[in-house]
Formats: sequence, C-alpha cells, structure tokens
Amino acid sequence: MHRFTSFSLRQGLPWRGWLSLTALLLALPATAAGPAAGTVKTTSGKVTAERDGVRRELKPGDPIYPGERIRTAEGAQAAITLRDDTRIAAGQKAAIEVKTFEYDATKQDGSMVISVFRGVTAFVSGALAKSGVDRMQVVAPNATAGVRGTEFIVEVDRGWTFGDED
Amino acid sequence: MKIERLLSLTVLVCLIAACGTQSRVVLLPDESGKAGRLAVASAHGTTTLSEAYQGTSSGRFATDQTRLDPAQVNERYGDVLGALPKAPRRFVLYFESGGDVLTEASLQALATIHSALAEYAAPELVVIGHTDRVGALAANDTLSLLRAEVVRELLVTEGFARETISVIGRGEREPAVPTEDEVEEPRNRRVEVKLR
Repeated sequence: MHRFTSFSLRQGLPWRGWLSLTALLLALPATAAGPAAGTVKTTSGKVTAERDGVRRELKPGDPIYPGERIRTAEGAQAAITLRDDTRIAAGQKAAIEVKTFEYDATKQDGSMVISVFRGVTAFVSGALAKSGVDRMQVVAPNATAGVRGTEFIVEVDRGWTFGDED
Repeated sequence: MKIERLLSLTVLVCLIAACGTQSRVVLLPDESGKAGRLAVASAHGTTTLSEAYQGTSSGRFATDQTRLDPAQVNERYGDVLGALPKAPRRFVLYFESGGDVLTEASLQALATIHSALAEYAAPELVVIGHTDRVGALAANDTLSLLRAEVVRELLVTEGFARETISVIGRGEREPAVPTEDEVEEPRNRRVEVKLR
C-alpha cells in the first residue's frame, strides 16, 4: 500500500477521478469518425460538412469522413478524391454523404456506399468498383446504382416537393 | 371553394407531370472513350447501363430509360464534369538489386514528380511498395511496406511535405509481370508513387 501512495500526485485525483477519466478516454473512439474516406481537392463558394449537429466549412486539403453530410451552397462546387482513387464533383446546392467506406489498400478490397440527396454529382470510380460486384453503391432517393465503372452522373431533382434532403 | 379547386388541380397536375423527386443516372464514356457498367435498381425493376450516354430517370411512379447525346450532357452537366479532380498519375521507381538504392533512371523520375505536383490541387502522394513472388506472402507484405517507407524518406529529403505522403505495402499481389510462385522477377521489385 505504501508503494502505491508514493506514485500518486501530491494533489492527485482520487481513484474515482482516474476511473472516470479512463472511462471517458475509452469512450472517445466510439464517437470518432475512424479513418478519413477521402480528401477535398477543390472548393469554390461555400462547402460544408456536417455530422452530429456540428458543421465545418471545407477547404482544399481537408479530410472528409464517413457519416458527414457534405453540402454545397448556391453557385458553389466541390471536388473530392477518395482513398481508392474514386473522384467526385458536386455541383451547386448539392447534398451528398459517404455513408460507409471500407478500403484495405494492401488487398485493394472493401466496399462503399455514397448517398446523393440533391443536386448534380459526377463520379469517376476507382479501385473498389473494380474489385467486385456491388462494392460501390450510389444511393439516390428513387434509385440505387451498383457501380462496376466508371464515369457517370447522378442528378437528384427535388422538383416541387417540400422535403429538402431526406 | 376556389382554393380547394386550385389545390386539387395542382395535385392532379403533379401526379400527371410526375412532380416530386426525380433521380437520374447517366453513364458516360471514361477518358479512353469506353463506358463501364451500372446496375440501376428502382421500385420499378433493374436497368443495366452499359453504353455511353444511356441513362435512367426514376420518379415515384415510373422509371424511364433515356439516352442523351454529348451536347445535352455538356449543356446540363458540363460544369460539374469540369470540376472533377484530375486523374491520378503513377511513377514507377526501381531499386538497384539487393538493397534500397534507387536506379539512376528512378532518381530522374523524382524530378518529374516535382514538376507534376503543380498540376494537382491539394496533391497527395501515395507510395506503394511491391515485391516479386520469391518468399512468403506475409514477408513480402512487410518488405514491400519497408521499400515504400524508404521511398517516403527519400521524397521527404527531396523536399516533398511528409504529411502529403502515405505508404502502402502491396506485397506480391500486384505484379507488373505475372509469374509463378517463387520466381525471381526484378521488374516486380518496384515502388509506385501515385500522385493524386
């Protein structure tokens, strides 16, 4: 018992304090986004990423993570490259989200699902689409595309509906 | 009276005109002019797009097959297509046999990478090590990653920013020249630097 007290800080936390701190630190990975899905290459105008109610403005070189809703304002555009070399360009007033992105760069396998909620998005698929059937899926409100390759457009026209995204 | 009439008329027009969300998918030719393949599933069935400019348009009530021409695609989607990031460029570096010294030609390649960097927005360098099929799979995974790390250090001393460089070991999985297992092939003992 003596030995243990000699390690504690002079005004140290009681053991309950350390227990709570440890629990907090262990809980953090559960809220972290995991590895980035890709990198923002260009932006023009206002482009944001939102997750869990927290919104950040994107600029070239920023990472983007699965689960983030990416939105472009009126007159804005964004270009993103994912880790498997998939390239994406979103036009103005667009909303897209990389729902899931699993990519093992050594084996070149995994899968991804991207949701397009509104606007025009152009894609050039990369390694995941080539790796097998349904490794890359793009989900739009009325249609889902299983992608084998390579270059395509998804346009979601919300028409006269009141719903903005979901 | 009037308002109700107007509302029911609007609803009727909407149903007929298929107002509401439309999702369009259009397959385009890639840089080499070839079209890939998309399987588009909707509430109304699945359509395969395999020719350039084929498309589908899905609404609540129906999915139509469409075909656009290049002029229509350019007019409607030209500016978004123009915003796509540049296609990645690969440089292959070779080692003098036995160690971790780059060949003369490969050292020259580094200069090319430097000048190519300016063509890419927010550039990233992905360094991918490869081996031939001599040795065990796991050992080659380790060796290839080591080679990639050597090249990363080289890139850093040549002035490339460390945080833009990532390393991958791909072992014997992606040979430049396919061989039988345990066959020596110097052309497979290479490191690729991908600029994207």
